[in-house]
Amino acid sequence: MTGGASRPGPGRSPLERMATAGRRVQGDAVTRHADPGELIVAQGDDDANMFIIQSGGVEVRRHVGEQVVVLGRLQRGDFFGEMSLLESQPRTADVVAIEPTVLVELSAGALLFRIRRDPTLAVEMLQKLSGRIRNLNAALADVAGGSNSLLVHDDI
Amino acid sequence: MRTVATEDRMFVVSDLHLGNPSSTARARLVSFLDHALKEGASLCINGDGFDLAQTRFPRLASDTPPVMAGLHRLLHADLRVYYIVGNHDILLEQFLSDFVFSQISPFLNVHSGDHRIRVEHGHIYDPWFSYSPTSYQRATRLAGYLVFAIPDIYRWWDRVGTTVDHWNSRRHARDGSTDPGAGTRYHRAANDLLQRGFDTVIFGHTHAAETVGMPIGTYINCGNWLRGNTYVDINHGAATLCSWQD
Repeated sequence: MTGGASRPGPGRSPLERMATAGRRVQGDAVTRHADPGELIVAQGDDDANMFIIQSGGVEVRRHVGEQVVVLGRLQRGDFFGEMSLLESQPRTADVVAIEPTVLVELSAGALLFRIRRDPTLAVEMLQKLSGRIRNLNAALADVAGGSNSLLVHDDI
Repeated sequence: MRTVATEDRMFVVSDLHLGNPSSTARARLVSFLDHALKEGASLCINGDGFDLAQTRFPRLASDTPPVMAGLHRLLHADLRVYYIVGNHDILLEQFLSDFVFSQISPFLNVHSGDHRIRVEHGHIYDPWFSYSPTSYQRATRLAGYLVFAIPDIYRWWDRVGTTVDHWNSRRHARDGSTDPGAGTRYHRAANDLLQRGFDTVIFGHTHAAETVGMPIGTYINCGNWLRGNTYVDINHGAATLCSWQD
């Protein structure tokens, strides 16, 4: 990943790094730039920040055995990495830039501040997550093919 | 909740405050709706279209029918009428869905040409509203009695609001809590949204029409029709603040 003006790095002073961390906590944008083909998050990694695509586009790929399955393409306005952020679980897929891409990176603390300042972000996240659950339910029903073998038991 | 719309051409108006004794919107609005019909533009009422907080029923009853008739004409021409809920019409949210509107939502993400445009009333970024929505609504209703006695008090209120907002932004810049040049609360809120991949952000609520070039996009406030006549013309992605002259 290249060129993020406020990206922490070994060349920066501790004060500069603290200032960057402070901006993250306040929900201010930490922007990252990714070149085409660049791996932004890697399946299995433990980092837990989420990203909003400000411009450009990315592809989400999952390694299944020897195969790489393309799960989808995301464009500006879309976000990714929220599953690791919300659940503190390792990344479940690779995300690779497919064109010059600018990203807004949010940590868990910054997300809370950001939602306080921009509550519509939370609504849009819930809309997208709800859409994904709907698609998964439809796919599950297709796989079940009318049999009862894949019934989901909801404990709620 | 549907919050996405695709439109090549759309007019955005805000703060009509139909039913408010101060509102002079009705006559201008009827001819404006005819203009939208002629131009083939869909319409978005960006909050506070109807004023339930400071309404007088006889006024609401006289203002509403000609406006509704104009909206029906748009719909019959296969154009859409979107309604975004503001702070003076929150109570109407459920009720309005049975009315003429194609879509009612708290905000709208408009795809026009290759542009993404956020349209939102903006009251949730009002520091007085966000501090205590209940107190704000009570104060708004009380102020309605004052408006009934002195309709022009709204002009004074708008000027005070704008002055306080600019004063606060300068104070925050001085004490270091925001960057110098970050602008008012609304400018900062627009900037947050622009960072999420929008080209233009359109608010209402402040009644102060303005176009501001931001670091990565444009912020437009579409003003008001209480006493004003400004609107935003979205034409294949290009958003322009205009004044309606009958």
